[in-house]
Amino acid sequence: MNKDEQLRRLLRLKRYEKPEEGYFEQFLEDFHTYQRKSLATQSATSLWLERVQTALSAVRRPVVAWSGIAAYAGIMILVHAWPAPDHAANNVIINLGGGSTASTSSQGGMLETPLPPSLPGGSKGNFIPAGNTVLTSDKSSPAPAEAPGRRRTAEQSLDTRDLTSPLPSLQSN
Amino acid sequence: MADAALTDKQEDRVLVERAQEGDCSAFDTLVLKYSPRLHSLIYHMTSHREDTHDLLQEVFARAFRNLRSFRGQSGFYTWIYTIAVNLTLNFLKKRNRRHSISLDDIDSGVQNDGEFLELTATSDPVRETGLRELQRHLNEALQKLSEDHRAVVTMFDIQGMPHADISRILGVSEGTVRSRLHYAHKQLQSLLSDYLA
Repeated sequence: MNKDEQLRRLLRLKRYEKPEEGYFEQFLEDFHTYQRKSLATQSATSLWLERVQTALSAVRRPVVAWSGIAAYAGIMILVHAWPAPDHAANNVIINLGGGSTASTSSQGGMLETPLPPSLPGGSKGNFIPAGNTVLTSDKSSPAPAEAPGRRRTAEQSLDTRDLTSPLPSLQSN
Repeated sequence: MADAALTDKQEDRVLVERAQEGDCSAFDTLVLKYSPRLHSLIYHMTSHREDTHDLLQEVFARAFRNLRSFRGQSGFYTWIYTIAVNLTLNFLKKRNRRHSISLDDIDSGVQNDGEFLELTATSDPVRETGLRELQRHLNEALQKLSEDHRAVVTMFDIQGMPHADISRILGVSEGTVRSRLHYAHKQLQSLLSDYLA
């Protein structure tokens, strides 16, 4: 008999290690007590996590399943935690005179377009903060140009529409 | 034999369905039926009586709480056995437990076992040290294996489970199971060299 077979026979002796008589009947009673106690103390989150773990334990490759869940969670975090799509979309440029130079760039929440000289503070270096409404009557300015490669939302299209016949209250200014 | 196994599975299915409908006595029947086998698995992996008791309770409690998610694709025994293995492996990985051997647990039936009689008749160290000492050495040697190696030795050598079932429960290939067994046996042969001729 080789050593491997001897070892197997030796290990099989461990089958004789058993709990004392009546252990399993007592175990059932202990289990009922434990069950009541754990139901009363376990939080909803830990129960939910436990259900996920138990469901995954039935999967043949638990590591693959966990990786899939991690990847999905990562994508969801990226989708929800990513900065708002375009701050400049909130800028409303109302051109009273025929056009404006609007850029839809939103770096740092500021529109990187200088204010028209006709506006107060419209010299070089002044920018329109995101979310502001700017009234302009600069006829020399070209029509708002769409940034290349950037899709415009319906809201943006409305915000930058050319209002040659603006609201009466604005004309009085 | 195959018919008996089928009947066993059918019986389990009926009990599970009853338990899923809220019949707690059906689940108690499952507890009484499978606690000896699961106790053996956990005990041989932990070599600790109290830990085994606590883990066994948690295994059944977890199975009960998740019974609604059990769809019956595998047998109830395979399902609860997988829960027990995963829970025990996680427990062992979290803590390096002290060795506490329950020497008073040895079934007296071992005295009449053919393999034991043959071992004590042919091997001097075994005859000298006696049964309890042998059990202690066996448990100490098992505790020196890694958790993953100990799990396959427990399932294959002690519980007599086929490679395919171990592979399914551990979620590894049969090749991995064989490889782990090979390395675990090598290590055990070296640790128990006194008992091997």
